[in-house]
Amino acid sequence: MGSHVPEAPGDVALVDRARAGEAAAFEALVKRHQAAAFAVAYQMVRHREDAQDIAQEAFVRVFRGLRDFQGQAAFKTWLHRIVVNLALDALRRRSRHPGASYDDAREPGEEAREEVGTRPDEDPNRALEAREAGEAIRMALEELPAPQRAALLLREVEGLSYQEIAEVLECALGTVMSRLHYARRRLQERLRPLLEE
Amino acid sequence: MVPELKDRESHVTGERLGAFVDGELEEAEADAVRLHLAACPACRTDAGLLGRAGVLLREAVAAEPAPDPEAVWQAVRARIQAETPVGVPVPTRRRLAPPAWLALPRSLVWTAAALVLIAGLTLLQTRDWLAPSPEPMPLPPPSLAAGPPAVVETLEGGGGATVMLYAPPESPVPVIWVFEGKPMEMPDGPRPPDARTT
Repeated sequence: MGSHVPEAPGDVALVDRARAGEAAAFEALVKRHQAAAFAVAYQMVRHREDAQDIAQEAFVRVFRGLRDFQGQAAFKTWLHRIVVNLALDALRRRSRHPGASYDDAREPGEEAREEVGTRPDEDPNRALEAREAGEAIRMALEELPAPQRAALLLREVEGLSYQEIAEVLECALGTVMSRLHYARRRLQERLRPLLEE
Repeated sequence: MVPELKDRESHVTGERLGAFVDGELEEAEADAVRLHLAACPACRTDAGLLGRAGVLLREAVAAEPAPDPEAVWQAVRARIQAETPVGVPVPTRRRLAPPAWLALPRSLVWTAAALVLIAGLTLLQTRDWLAPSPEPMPLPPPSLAAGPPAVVETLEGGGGATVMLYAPPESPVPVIWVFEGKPMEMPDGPRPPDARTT
């Protein structure tokens, strides 16, 4: 005799219920997508507090726009468009103040990852490789123009389709393909020593 | 061999290879790339590098700790409540649209309410002032029969004018007389005809 575990409602159902006034449905949407929203925001702006602010603001805008959202795009696509646009705005503001330091990896007082020992159960070689890869990826992402960075994150991390990426970035499919190609080529150049091991 | 998939070196272009790895090619194009990869070690290597770089990127992103979901929800809720003071008013088709003033910052709403209250109180007070006072009863001329008027103060001003403050016993309203030129000696009788009253 098996027990029936009710399937979690999909985004469409939660959006409908949230639009109908169910606060718990909106809460579920926030909790379901907050990690992805933060991840994209953080990899775009590379500053934890700014990324948290962007992710929270994105959900506030989702809340404000629920009434008008009729499912013309997937909820995730809609949310990512807001997150990416907020991140691009933040990066544009930052470019107008180039003297400030925003990279979390360079924040004063923060222990450098290299100084932190590996966990007892962690393979030291694997940990070192992960740290090197992380640093290489951080540098590769920072070198990418923001639109290419966004395309790469939406595809590789969030798994959006090319069509969805085109909707998020409001560009043509061909532009998505060329941005991805450019971003991946730069990433591979940075990761070549690790990729060729 | 599908010419449009290949560059001058007869390999799959980077864009097409990426689209193949991502599963974004049409079936016919994907079959063509698959056939090419089976015969081309260089393109097979490139496809492998694409996949491997993606894995490393995802691992690096996943290594960054995500915020606590409950903390995020509370922060979002607080932001929404700061903008609209009524709980978490999730919009609904069935409800009437909330009044526009609900979307205003709470401090602005209270300030406007206070101003309205003050203006109202002011108007209430002012109304008494503005309301036409009943026609003041004309001061009866001082009556000889009632006895001489009570002169409170007499001032001789410059320019030959004299000011007299007169408090008639019949009325609580004092009267200010201004005489142009020195007043005549005040008899126990009516005021000079050229006196002005205020």
